[in-house]
Amino acid sequence: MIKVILLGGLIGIGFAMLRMRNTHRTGTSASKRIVLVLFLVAFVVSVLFPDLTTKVAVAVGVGRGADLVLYLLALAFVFLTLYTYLRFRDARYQLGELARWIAVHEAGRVEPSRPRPLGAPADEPPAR
Amino acid sequence: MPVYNEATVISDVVRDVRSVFPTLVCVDDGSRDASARLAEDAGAVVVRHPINLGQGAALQSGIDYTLTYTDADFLVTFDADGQHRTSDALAMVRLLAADEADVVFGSRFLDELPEVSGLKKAVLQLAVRYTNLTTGLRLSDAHNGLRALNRDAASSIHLTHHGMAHASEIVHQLAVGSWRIQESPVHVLYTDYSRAKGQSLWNSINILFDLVLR
Repeated sequence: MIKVILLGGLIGIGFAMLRMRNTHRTGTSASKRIVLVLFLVAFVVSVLFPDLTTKVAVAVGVGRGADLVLYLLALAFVFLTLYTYLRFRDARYQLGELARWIAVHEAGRVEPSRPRPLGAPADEPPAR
Repeated sequence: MPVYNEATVISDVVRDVRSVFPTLVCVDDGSRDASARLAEDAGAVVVRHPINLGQGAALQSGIDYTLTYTDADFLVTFDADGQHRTSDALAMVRLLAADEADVVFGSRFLDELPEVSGLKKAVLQLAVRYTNLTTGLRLSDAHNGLRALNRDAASSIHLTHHGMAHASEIVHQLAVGSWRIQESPVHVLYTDYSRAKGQSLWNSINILFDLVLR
């Protein structure tokens, strides 16, 4: 049972990551907030009722509640790592596009060159 | 032509290319040495990236500049480390000029056996397999820096991989359009310098990672 949950979670994360590219819709960010709230609620509940985690753990086939918490934490960590990686890469891409735009148009402003037709003599520097 | 810390060879490479091609755009990818100034002195137009972005970004900037600020009919991508021969590039442009193709890829493996080590060759062949499998093309070398494109084909390229995975991405984007694609034999001069500057095999792992998690 726990194996199904953990592997299912991993596969779910994988699909979410593949789907997530270029989608910055309000739906996805809302669902992330819901997950966060659920996580916090689960945290509070497990602190208030420590026995509950063990009961849930036994129900899904893990010996101790602490183990279940550890497994779920590992899953959350994988998600966070991948998510952060993708966000970071997006940000880097946007930074790159900005830098490229500036570089290209700066170069064009400084010296717009007019290429000669193919085969024309090329011994003088390009026209400025 | 993407340039990153090539000060020792850039002057010669630029002069050599400019002996045949009138306009040479060097994209300096945030080099820490004098590459940009040397390229400019040798007669190249230099686009300066303020920070190091990767070879894919440099290529895209070169393409953007060429399309925006020149009226060139043909565009050739060239490695700055001196591993390509200008004569090979010229042969590729002639194919374009004769209107026999829209895109010409350089290939190391077309006629002669290049001097690459066994493992590197295996990895390159694997890359070719992958590219052919995903694009439906039949190329013999997917990761050669020498490519010639006509203006229309060049304007269809929008590289999103700023790193090294751009080689596969270029092929991919061109395969989607209905361009006439050819290959042309290219002799790669593996000098000690270009070998030292060239991609290490570790990079193929990075490329694979980028391609999977795109």
